[in-house]
Amino acid sequence: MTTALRPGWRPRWRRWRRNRPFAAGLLLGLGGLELICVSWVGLGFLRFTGTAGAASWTLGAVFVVSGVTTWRNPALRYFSGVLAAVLSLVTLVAANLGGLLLGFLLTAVGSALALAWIPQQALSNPEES
Amino acid sequence: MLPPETAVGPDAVVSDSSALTPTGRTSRLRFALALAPLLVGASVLLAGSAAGAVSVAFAGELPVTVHAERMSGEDACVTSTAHLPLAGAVTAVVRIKRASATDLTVEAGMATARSVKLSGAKFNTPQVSLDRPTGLFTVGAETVSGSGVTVQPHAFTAGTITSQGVAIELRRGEGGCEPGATR
Repeated sequence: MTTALRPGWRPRWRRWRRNRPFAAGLLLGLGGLELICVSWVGLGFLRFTGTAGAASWTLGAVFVVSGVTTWRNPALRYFSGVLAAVLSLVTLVAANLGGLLLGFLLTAVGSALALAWIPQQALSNPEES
Repeated sequence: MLPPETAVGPDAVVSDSSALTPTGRTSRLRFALALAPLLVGASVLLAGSAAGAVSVAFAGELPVTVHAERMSGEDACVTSTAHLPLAGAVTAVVRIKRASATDLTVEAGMATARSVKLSGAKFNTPQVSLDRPTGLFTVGAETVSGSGVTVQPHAFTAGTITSQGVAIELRRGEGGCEPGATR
């Protein structure tokens, strides 16, 4: 009985991944880390170089938090998605041209995925749109 | 909230553990509707930046090489090579027809120039200790002009950079500002 209720890690991982906007959270987190890494390449830890350096760290942290929020609480995906969408545009002018455009692209696609994710009950309402 | 294993019957869990649990999917229509305004806004911001209407902030200690035909900031070219885990070396080349910066500080590792002219210059040589009279020197000038200037900075900061005629190019491998100069 206990064995039946506790399947292997692969089905549990698959179910955990399908129950939330996984790709959205992943891209938001990667985009935030990319923004930080662009202003951190080849540096010591915690180097704030001017307003853009501080903005890179701040915005990157917010994107990582947004990604974790979409994973931990998918019901808040609209809030985190809209927040990340607006801030992704802010990164273009405030944080090294959006982390040399790569961070902007990651966070923009991640926020769009968060807004586009639709939860559904697999058997009860499969055609919900 | 009860976990899915508790919410459904154990028989159903054994037969198909994922059938009764809530899943999700991505609506392509919603994705396009959410992404389109972002791309439009980004295009407007980049076009405004290229036209000199929008200032962008840069900072960091990037492996950047700044090459300018003239020190006035015309025909500048910035390259940055990043070694990505899967893609390998990728070089971003940013060409700027005309640029001006505020609060620009460059910590140069190497600088070369064909000719440099300074006017109203100040040369400071601080005395570090008695047996070591000079340390890092600084040069300030009211106007600077030069040709064939190439700077490889360790670090740079800028409050704002206003540029016109910006073109961004991504290349595989390392290289400089010359067209197709990747290796």
